[in-house]
Amino acid sequence: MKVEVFLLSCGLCAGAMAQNADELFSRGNAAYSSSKYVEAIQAFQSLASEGHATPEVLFNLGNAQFRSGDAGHAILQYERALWMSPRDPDVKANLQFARRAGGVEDADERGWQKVARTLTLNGWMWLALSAWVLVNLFAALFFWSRNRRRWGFLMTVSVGLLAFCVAGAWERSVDLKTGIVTALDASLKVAPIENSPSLEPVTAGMRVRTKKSMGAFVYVETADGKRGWMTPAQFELIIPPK
Amino acid sequence: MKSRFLFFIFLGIVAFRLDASDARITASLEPAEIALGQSAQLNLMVEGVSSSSPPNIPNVPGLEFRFIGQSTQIQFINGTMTGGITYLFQVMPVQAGDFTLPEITVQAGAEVLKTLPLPLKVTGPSDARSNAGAHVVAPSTPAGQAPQNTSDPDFGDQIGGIQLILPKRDFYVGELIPTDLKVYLNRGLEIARVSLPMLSGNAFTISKLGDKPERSNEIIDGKPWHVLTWHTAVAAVKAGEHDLGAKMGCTLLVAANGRRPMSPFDDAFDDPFFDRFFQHKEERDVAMRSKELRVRVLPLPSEGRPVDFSGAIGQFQLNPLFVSSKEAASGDPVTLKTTILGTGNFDRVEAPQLSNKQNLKTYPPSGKFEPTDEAGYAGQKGFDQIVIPLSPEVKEIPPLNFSYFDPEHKQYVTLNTQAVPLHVLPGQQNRALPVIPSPVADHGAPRRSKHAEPTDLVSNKLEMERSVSHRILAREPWFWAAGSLPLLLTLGVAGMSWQRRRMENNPDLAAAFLSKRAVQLQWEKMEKARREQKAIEFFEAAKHVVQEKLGRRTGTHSESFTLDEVDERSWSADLKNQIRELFRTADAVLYSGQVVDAKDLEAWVPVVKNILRGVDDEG
Repeated sequence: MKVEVFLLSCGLCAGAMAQNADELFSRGNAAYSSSKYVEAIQAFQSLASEGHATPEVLFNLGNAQFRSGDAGHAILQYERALWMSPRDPDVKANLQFARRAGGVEDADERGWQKVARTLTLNGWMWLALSAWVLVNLFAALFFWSRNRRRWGFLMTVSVGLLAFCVAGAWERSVDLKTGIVTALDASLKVAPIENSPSLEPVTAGMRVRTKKSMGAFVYVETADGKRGWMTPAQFELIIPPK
Repeated sequence: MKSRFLFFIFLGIVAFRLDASDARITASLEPAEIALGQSAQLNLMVEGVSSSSPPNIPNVPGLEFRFIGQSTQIQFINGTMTGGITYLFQVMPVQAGDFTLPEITVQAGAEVLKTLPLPLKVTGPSDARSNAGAHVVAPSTPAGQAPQNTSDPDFGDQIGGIQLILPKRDFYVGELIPTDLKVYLNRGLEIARVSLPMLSGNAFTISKLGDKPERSNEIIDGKPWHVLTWHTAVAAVKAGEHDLGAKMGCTLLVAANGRRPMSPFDDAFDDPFFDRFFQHKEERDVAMRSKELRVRVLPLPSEGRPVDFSGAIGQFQLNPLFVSSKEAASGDPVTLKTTILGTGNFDRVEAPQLSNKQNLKTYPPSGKFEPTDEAGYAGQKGFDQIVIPLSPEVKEIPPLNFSYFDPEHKQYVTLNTQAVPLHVLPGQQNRALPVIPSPVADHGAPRRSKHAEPTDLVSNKLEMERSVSHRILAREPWFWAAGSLPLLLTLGVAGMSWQRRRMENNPDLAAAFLSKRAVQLQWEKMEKARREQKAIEFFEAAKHVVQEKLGRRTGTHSESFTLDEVDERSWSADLKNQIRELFRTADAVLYSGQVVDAKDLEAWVPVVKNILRGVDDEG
């Protein structure tokens, strides 16, 4: 009896939380439609911080931030939404639009990068695990069987599939160390000290890849190969660390 | 020596094979149209022969022919040998007009080969060097000296020179001046490589030079020159009077001092043809430099300089402003498109500025330059800028201004676009705007083209997923643990497979393995019988354990091992006695019904152990 009461209360709590989330989501959309972008941003940010950072919430948050004139954070939210939902055409379109509006050059994606970005990192990892199971299965059959040719061929094919999946996962894992510049007056500094001269200004919304950190500074590289030091307050990682 | 001798034999075979094949001749004239003062090149290619008489060039009034040289080619294609000789002539006109080069005959063995007539058009004098407004630096004597001790009769005194052609000699700081940069190279020399020309001095910059300059031939003072022409542009970086010149390096192939080592074939093969194979050549670097031009560089006037002047100098036009939508809700982005076209330093041309930004949120513009010449001097630059009206009070997109300096009229010029009316709706009417529909928001709407460039934000999503996992599998230990299971399976199977194959290939090993397993099995049976106090099973198993062990050690069949065979072994008397005693008791229990107490069974276990250890030790 106690267990049933506990399960029932858990179910009710979950239902109530989901209802709250739906209400908050609708409230954010209503505020957005009324051009109350600050209210919309608050609603979507609350949802995201309460464990509902879904691609839809991040997408709408990005829209509200863009409308309020914050292209840097908008691009960050679109990138986060795209990380979870890499084939969503709406997210891609708004990211492209926000980049163009913010004066941020589109990253020049090569053919392989385009292929890798059709799946999430987890998608590639699951595929790689499946290919790994196949490799081992065919390898076991290869070792045990007296007719090795067939199993050797299948093992080779599955090794190729595994290499393909690992390469896709590797390419996607680059985003784990990638951040988006959110500060409006950010620049790359020559050295990791406060009064260091600036090398190059960086535009809000630009992608930077973190290399190492020293004290209160992080050494980053921009998409066009420029390197320098920034403070962590000037950019946010697309995938926040645990 | 030996390899050279073999090479001559090879050439002989080749010559024989080539002479046996069909011969033909082709003639070409490049270019077919030249100006007076320039020259064309006549190529006569005789294919399918290894030797022929020199071509018989007919006399053509108004044209002069000069023999440049010949080359011999031998090729193997799909096992078939092909070859030929190419004769090169320089054709120099002495008057303008339309000419026709008549048939040219060549004697190849018994055959007489004839070319087809070739037309050549010679126009009036070339205006390239007689341009009235041009300031020309004539080819100068190169800094490098002609190589010494060379036997090449065509080797000239001059190697080459550089020429700069500017439209004027007074210009402004930052102004881009279209410039022709011509490099003359002596056609009589063999040139390995040339570097790209660069400007001397530090008062000027030059646009990037392409690696494929325009190529032509010219005759200057009766000498033929290869001419490489870059159409580029220079700009001054500081005011004052400066010398403008160009320099470049080139590497020549020249005959090394001294003749090749003497050999028995020197007299027989003392022919220029063989020099191609045996003459040793070395590289020699030479530097070329143009004569310098005195240029006056003026500073830009500070008087009348517009506030929005970005450094653009030239002649420009501003196309009318294009606005992506005449109607928008406040907060909705609108794209402005403008184009600036003309000639000048487009790298300093920046986007036109809004004359009034009240109630407008502007984003940085993006620009794209499309040159119409290789120097990047002429073309058009398009700009896109996102503007967001923040209030319904905005009634128009205000005029855009662009300022530049006109060096011809020596004054600053500001161009303006017309204001474009814009109807801004209050934000509540946002949903009524013709924005691109979201597939989530509007399931009936067609999907956007994959390559279409978005002109506005896609509107918000109206539904959301209940939950989403933010776990990254690569950071989960269980994921890697799951990945290790298939590997363990494979390693296990591989180990078993290896063991199986090892036994299949070694029968002794397999027998030992089986025997060991049998001993273990019988020992377990014996222990079980002891625990259950079953004397018959105990002694049966004990006897089999010892028989298996003895059979394995002595290489005989375990079942047939008897007491007589024990006696034949050179084991210790104690061990033999123990074995005899065990076998006798076992036989008595098994076949005579002798009863053994449970305590006695316990006592027999160490005896069996001793026997097994003794057999192992005494072997």
